[in-house]
Amino acid sequence: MIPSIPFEYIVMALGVSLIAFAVVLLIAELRHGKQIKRFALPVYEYSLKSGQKKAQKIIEDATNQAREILVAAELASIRGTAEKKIETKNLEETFRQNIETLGKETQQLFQKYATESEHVYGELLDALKKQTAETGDVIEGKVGEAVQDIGASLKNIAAHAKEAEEKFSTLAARIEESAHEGIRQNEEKFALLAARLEGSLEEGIKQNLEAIRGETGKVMGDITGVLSQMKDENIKKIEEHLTREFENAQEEIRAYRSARMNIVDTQMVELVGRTTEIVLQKGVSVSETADLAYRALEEAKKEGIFSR
Amino acid sequence: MQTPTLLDVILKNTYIKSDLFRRVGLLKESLEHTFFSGHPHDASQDLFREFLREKGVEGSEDANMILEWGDIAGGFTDGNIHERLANLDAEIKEIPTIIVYIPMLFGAQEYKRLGAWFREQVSPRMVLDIKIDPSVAGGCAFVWKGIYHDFSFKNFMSKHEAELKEAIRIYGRPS
Repeated sequence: MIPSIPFEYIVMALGVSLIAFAVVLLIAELRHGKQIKRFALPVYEYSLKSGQKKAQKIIEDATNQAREILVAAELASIRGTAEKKIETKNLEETFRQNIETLGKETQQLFQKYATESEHVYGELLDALKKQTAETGDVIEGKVGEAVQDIGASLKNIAAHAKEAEEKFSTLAARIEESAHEGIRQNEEKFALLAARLEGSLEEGIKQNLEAIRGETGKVMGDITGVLSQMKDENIKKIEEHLTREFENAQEEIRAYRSARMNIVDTQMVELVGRTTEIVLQKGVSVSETADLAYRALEEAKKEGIFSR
Repeated sequence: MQTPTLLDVILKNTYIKSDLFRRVGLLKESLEHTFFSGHPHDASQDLFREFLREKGVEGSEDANMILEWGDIAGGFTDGNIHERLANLDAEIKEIPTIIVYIPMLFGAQEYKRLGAWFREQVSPRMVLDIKIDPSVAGGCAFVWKGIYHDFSFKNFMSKHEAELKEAIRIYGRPS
C-alpha cells in the first residue's frame, strides 16, 4: 500500500521545484547573458531586445506554471474539502445510526427488564397469593402490605428506569448535539485550515513569483545595466571614431582642396607664365628683350653672383 | 704698360665667341692668302680690304670689325705666321668664356652692349658664348663658374609663385 503524502508536502515540493526551475533558468539566462556580453558588442541592441524577450518569456512561463499550480492546488483543496465533507457526513450518519441503535437497544432492554419484572412480580404475587391462601388470612394483611411495598418499589424502579431512560435520551441527544457541534467545529476548522492552506499556498506562490520576478528583474537589471554600459561605451567609441574619422576626412578634404588649389594655381601660374613667354617672345622687340636681359643681369649682379 | 697682344686687339670689338672664331678665321685666311698666294708680302689693310672684297664680305659686320683692328698684320711674316697663329689659338683657348642664354637673336649693337656690360661688370678679358633659348624670355640666363643661373621671367615666376598665386586668388575680388 502506497503511503499517503500530506497535501502540504506536495505543495512545498511543487514550490521548491518551481524555485529550482527558476534558478536553473536564471543560471541559463546569466550564461546566455555572458555570451551576449561576449558577442553582443556589435549587436547590443538585438541582444537587449532578445534578453528582454527571453526574460519576459521566463516570467510568463513561471507565471503560467504558478497559475497552473495554484489551480491544481485549488482543485485539490476543493476535492479534499468535498471528500472530508462526505466522510464527515458518513461519520455523522454512522454515529446517528449507532445512537439510534443504542437507544432502541436500551429501550428494548428496559422494556424487557420491565416485562420480566412484571412477570416476576406476577409470579411472585401468584406465589404469595397462593401462600397466603395457604397460610391464612393473618399474614394476608402483612403480605399485602409487603406486596404493596414491593409494588411501590417496582413502580419506583420503573419511575427510576423511565427517568434513567429520559436522562439517557437527554444524554444521547446531548451526545448527538455535541457530536454535531464537534463535526461542525471540525468542518469549520477544516474549512479554516483549507482557507489558510489555500491562502498560504497562494501567499507562497505569490512570494515565489515575487522572488522570481525580483530575481529576474535584478538579473534583467544587471543585464540591462551591462548592455546599457556596453551601449554607452560603444556609442562613445563610435562617436569618438566618427569624430576622428570626420576630422580626418575634413583634414583630407582640406589637404585635397589645398592640393587641388595649388595645382590650379600652379596651372594658372604656368598658364600666365606661358602666356607671358609667348607675349615676350612674339610681342616684344629685340631691343626690349635686350633691355630685359640687362635688367636680369643687373639683378644677378645685385645678388652678388659674379663676386662669388 | 704692357703691349696689347693680338688677342687683346681682337677683343676690343669682339665680345661673342662665335664672332671671335669667325673673325680670327677670316684673319687667318687673309694672312695665308697674303703670304701663300703669290701676293707681295705686305699684310697691310689694303690687302685685307682686297681679300675681304674678293671673299665677298666687304662691308659686313665682321669685315668692319676686322678693319677696326688696324694694322695688326704688320708683325706677320711667312716665317712666323704659323707660330703666331698657333699662339693666338692657344690664347683663345685660355680666354674665359661665359655662356649666356638669351630668348632670341640679338643685333650687333645688342651683342656689343651685352659684351661691354660683362667686360665692365664681370671681367675685362672674356667672351660670351651666346645660346638661344626661348624659355628664358623676359630676362636671360648664364653659366658662371660652372653654375647655371636663371634670371628669366619663368624663373622669376617660380621664385615668386606664392605672391603670384595670392595675386591670382584675390584677382577680381572686392578689396
